[in-house]
Amino acid sequence: MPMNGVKGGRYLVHVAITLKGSRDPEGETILKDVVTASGLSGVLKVRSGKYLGFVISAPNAEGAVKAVADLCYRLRIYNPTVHELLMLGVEDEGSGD
Amino acid sequence: MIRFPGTNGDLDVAHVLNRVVGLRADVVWHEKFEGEGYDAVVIPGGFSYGDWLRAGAIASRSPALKEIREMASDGKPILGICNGFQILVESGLLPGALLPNDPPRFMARWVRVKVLNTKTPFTAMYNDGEVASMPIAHGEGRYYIDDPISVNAVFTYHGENPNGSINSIAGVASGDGNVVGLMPHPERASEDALVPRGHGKGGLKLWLSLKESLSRGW
Repeated sequence: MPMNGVKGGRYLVHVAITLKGSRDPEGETILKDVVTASGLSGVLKVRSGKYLGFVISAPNAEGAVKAVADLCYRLRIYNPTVHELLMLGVEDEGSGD
Repeated sequence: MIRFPGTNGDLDVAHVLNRVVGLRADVVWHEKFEGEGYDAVVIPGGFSYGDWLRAGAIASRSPALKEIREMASDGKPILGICNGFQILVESGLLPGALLPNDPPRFMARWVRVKVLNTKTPFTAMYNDGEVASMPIAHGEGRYYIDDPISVNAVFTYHGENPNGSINSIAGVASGDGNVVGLMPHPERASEDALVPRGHGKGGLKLWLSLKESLSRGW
C-alpha cells in the first residue's frame, strides 16, 4: 500500500549472463538453422545466455541494481573470465504485500 | 568419492577402485564429507544439481569443497571427472572454464587422449606422450582459458577435438599437480569388457598411478 516511504521498496532486477569473446555455438546455431534458414535476412548475430530475476528490497531502484550487480560478481553467479553480466532493467514492485 | 544430488559416476569409480585396482574407497554424501581420514578424493561425473546455473556451479559451493580445498592445500591427490572437473573449475581449484560444446551438442563416444604430464599422482604410470582411449559423455566440456600457455595441461584430445576445447585440452592439473580434472571417463575404460573394438583400456593406468602414488606416500 505505501509507496516510496523512507524504508524503500521492493524491486525486481532483471539480469542476463552471456558469453563474451569465446564462440557462442548455441547463438550461432539459432542464427544459422532457425533465423537464416527461414529465409529472413538482415539478422547478423544471435547471442545466447541465461536470464535471472532478483526480487530485492532496497532504498531505491539504483541501489537495487547495484546490489544485484555486486552479488552476482561476489558470489560468482557469472564467471568474469568468460561471461558478461547484462543489467537488463529494474521494476518497482511496490513495498510488497 | 563425493556424491552430490545428480552424481551418477560414483558407483563406477567405486567399483574400479575397490574391485579392479584394490584400493579402499567409500562413496560419501557431500554434506557428510570430512576430509580427515581420507588420502585422496574423487569427484565423479554426473549432473550435480541438474546443471543449474552452469554445470558444477552449485555443487562447487557445497561445504564438501571447503574440505577438499584443505586436502588440496595439504598436497593430497584430488581428481575430478567430467562433472567433477566442472566442479573443480567452478570452485577455483583448477583454472579456466568449461563452456557448452562446439559444435553445440551432447557428445558420447570413445576418444583418444594424449598424456602430456606424467608428474601427477594420476598419470605417474603413463609414458610421456602416451595415447590412451577413454569415452567422453558431456554437453559442457569446451575448455577455455584466456592464456592457454599458462595452464598445466595433462591430457589433450588426440586426432580430433570433439568439443572445441582451446588447444584441444581435455584435462588440466594445478600448479603442483595434485589436483587433476579431465572430461573423459577413465573409470569406464579400465576393464576389457567395457572397451569397444579398436580401443584399449586407457583409463586403467590412471587408477594404478593413484595406487602407486599413495603407496609411495604422495
